[in-house]
Amino acid sequence: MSELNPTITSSRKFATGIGLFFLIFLATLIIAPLIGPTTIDLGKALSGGIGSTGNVDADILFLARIPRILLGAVTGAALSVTGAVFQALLRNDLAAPFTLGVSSGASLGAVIAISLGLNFTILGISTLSIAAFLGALGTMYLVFGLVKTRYGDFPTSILLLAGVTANFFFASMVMFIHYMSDFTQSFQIVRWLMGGLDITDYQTVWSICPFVIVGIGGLIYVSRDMNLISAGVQSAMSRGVDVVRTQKIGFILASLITGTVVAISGPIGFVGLIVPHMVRLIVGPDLRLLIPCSMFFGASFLILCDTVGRTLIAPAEIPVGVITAMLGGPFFVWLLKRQNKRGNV
Amino acid sequence: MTIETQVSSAMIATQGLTFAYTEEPVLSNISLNFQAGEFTGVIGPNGSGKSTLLKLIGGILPSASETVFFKNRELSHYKKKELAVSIAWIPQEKQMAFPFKVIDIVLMGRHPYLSPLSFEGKDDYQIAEDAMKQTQVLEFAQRSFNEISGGEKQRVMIASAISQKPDVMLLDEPTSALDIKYQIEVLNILKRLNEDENKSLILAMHDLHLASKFCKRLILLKKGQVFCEGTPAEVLKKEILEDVYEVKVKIFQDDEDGSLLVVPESS
Repeated sequence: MSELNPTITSSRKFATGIGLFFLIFLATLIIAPLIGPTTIDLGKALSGGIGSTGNVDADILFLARIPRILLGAVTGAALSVTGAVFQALLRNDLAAPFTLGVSSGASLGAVIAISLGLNFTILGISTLSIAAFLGALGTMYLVFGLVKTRYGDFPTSILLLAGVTANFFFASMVMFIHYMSDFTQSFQIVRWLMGGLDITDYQTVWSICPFVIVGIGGLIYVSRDMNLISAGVQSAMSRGVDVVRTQKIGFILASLITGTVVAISGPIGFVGLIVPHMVRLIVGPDLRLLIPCSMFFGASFLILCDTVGRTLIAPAEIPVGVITAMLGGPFFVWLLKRQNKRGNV
Repeated sequence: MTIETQVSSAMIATQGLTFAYTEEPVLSNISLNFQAGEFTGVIGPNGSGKSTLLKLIGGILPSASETVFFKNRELSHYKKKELAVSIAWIPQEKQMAFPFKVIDIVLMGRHPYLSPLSFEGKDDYQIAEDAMKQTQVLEFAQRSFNEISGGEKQRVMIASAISQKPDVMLLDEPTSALDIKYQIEVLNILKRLNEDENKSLILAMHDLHLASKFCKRLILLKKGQVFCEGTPAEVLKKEILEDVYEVKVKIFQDDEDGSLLVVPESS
């Protein structure tokens, strides 16, 4: 009999993979709130009375830790899914929102909005989010146009150069705007640029959820088309994929979710690089599996990094972006070296 | 509509096809007919436009309006998936950016038959398995595509195209990167597809001997234009090749199958 086991259908394979990563996510979600510099009495915390009722345990759990963990989950999920999608569409596993400069483009958008005094909400959507989304989309458009060769390839060297250039350029623009702005705005910009998950509440988390959910849902919808693109643009065309349309949908939705979370959490680097790569080692490169699994694992990963950040040198805290960068820098070098060995650079 | 009535019974036809990547045209004024069930080789020097012609016929490069027809209908009038179940284009094998398994690649041929959120079903697996049997790659099904040899990769690409169930298969230099054993293996698979399943094949080829051995008809391109076309014996003539390739050649004939061996002279 053949090696293809027809009894193991695709859908069961997918359910198993996604189920496994969902369980990891669930476990992180339950355990992380219990860890922190202050030991909390869970029984007391759950006995009710949040806010100004003197139940300190409940306040720490429900007002400080859980919203922060939820924001970490949404941010980690969004950045990881974006990374997986960028890597597939550019056919390069060094692509990620941070390395391509998309995160800094979103930052620039948000900083411009702050400096223009546009920090308010329309219909529940923060102008910061809109500006960050436009910044992310603009950068993506720029980098994509700059890097794409006549043959539809994206050479690593040019890709990285474009990303570095975008990062430098946007960073200096941010500095310039920061320098030109008055004291109040300057303070707002600094607070925002430091990023992190620490200043948040349920309201903020719920306000970004719809965008991230719609974005990820849309990306899953085109995931098989993106699979074929990740295996080769022209082959994908020959197999009936509308490549231009799929790329547009992919980049717009990925920019939407990047912009949404960067507007709230600030620039947090390397999550979108590390997570899809680790998940790909386990479930393979099929985006129908890679996107949902990266979503769950990305959420867990960022919660974990933040938990380390707030406990390692307690009572002081290390911003989560510092933790991810400390892990991500060496990881990036390793990936680059591996690509170099294979002769892809 | 008027054009459609003009077009012959050919399966694929190009009419005055011209194409340029930048300003310099790569192909100019190409008018060709391809009948159903033909085994055609497109030959010519490097840069003569062989690959580009195949991509235009496959709908991978956008042609100028109303110049490429499949079954009397212009390519741009087809939906992308509709075209994909009729014409498959097979690139030269190469490394993938991601570690897809062989079975993943072959199942990708089923894409035009699947709706966006659906998974491959048992039928799709069965079709993929049959395709892999035909090209003798079933034993590699679970291996990573990047880890198999060049000849095996090419056979996987062909299996993927077979599972697409097209009428026409376009192959861009399917044997150029292979050693002689794999060259013959791949071409025998294609020959069988042509003879047993009546697939129309159009191959861009470098190797003139293999072209004469397997193709029933050859199209010789020079600088983006059709220099001549006909049977291998009609096209592979000393004076024609010396003009097109700009090198002195000797031509020998294989006594057994009549195939022609073109040998360049060293001075």
